[in-house]
Amino acid sequence: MADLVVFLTLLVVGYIVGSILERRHFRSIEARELETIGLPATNLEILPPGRHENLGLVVGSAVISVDYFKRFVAGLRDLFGGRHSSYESLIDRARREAVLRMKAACPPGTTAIMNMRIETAAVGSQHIGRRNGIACLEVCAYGTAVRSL
Amino acid sequence: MRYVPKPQPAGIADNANVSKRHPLAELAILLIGAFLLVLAIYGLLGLAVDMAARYLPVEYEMSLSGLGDEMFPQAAQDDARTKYLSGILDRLLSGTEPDGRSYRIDVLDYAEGDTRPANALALPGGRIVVFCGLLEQARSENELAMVLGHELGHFRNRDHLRSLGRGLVVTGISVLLLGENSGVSRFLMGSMSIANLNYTQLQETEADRFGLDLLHHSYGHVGGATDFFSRMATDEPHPALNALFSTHPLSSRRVKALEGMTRDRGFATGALTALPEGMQCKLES
Repeated sequence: MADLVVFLTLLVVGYIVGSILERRHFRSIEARELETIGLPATNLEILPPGRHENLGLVVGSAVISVDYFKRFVAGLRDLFGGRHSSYESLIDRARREAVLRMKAACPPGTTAIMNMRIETAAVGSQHIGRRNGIACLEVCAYGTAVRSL
Repeated sequence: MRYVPKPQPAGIADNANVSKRHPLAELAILLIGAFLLVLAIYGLLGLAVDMAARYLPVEYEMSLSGLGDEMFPQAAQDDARTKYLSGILDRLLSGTEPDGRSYRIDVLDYAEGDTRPANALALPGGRIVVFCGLLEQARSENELAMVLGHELGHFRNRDHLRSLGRGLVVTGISVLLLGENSGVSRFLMGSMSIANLNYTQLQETEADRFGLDLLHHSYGHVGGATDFFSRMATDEPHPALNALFSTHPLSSRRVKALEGMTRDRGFATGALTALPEGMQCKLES
């Protein structure tokens, strides 16, 4: 019985807190994306014509953890297969946050980021013998900062 | 090349990478699916249990006979009440084909502070546990013979094995899904124990029918068959609620069913055999 109470509490708290944090994070992401809209992050490998200065590698990385509610829903989803919709928003947030951080890491004067790559890694979920390791996602975005002369 | 900045549309509603379905709707759909899945597994394994129970050799069942010993300790066989009940049992059994079980009766007395349920139950291996409350409340030998005949009906239809098997299935599913140490699993393991053999209403009715036939065969009439249940019927506080939630048929309905069976078979009622002295409960030390 105590287990059930703990479980339901975690589920409800996970859902409420998780949704509030997620909504807040999305608002912050959207605001910062508007602020940095003048700094394009592209995956072009060839520089446009003109003279450019290489400002070096810029990296942004974000680690986002899943709340108890999302994990429970995802666990149920594993029974049937199909879209893991409870994780979709998580990955979207992590990806956009990583790109924003990469932009924030750019040296002053950067006009564009070239050859951007995005990579993901699961963090902390693969401990041996821990079936219910917390699913944690790292998204790493990196590229080359350039300045048009 | 000219760069024209374009903001991503704001809000999840326009986000191409996030599903529109509300998380709670997703949870509800998945929970319903999981529930149906568990139901299907339970149904299929339950059918398998019923098949297995039907064909399980009696020798195998006898090897399970120690299962209830912990909860219902074996009682002394030289007790006057046990001897008396064994006599009734032998009389009933003489009207049936031998089925390979060696039946045995254990009269359970009560400890200080216990309730004295008027009840009997069938345990694997041919043990019939009779709570002393049943003997105290009984008014005639025929009544006791009916209860024993009813338990023999459960043995004959192997209801006790089915119930035991279904309990194992439920516990097994819970351990698989929630793990051995979860509270639900432990609760189920406790409640699915031998003390809570549940029978369906149909199984109870079949056992009643078997008991009634035995009673008629051994005593020549079915007097006293409904006495025990009529007395229980007056004790049931919420008949309607009980009928919904209980696995046992409502006592009053049971009495009607028994009376119906009696009419259909053309059984007569006759004089009741009185009980001997000394049927009282004893306080266990």
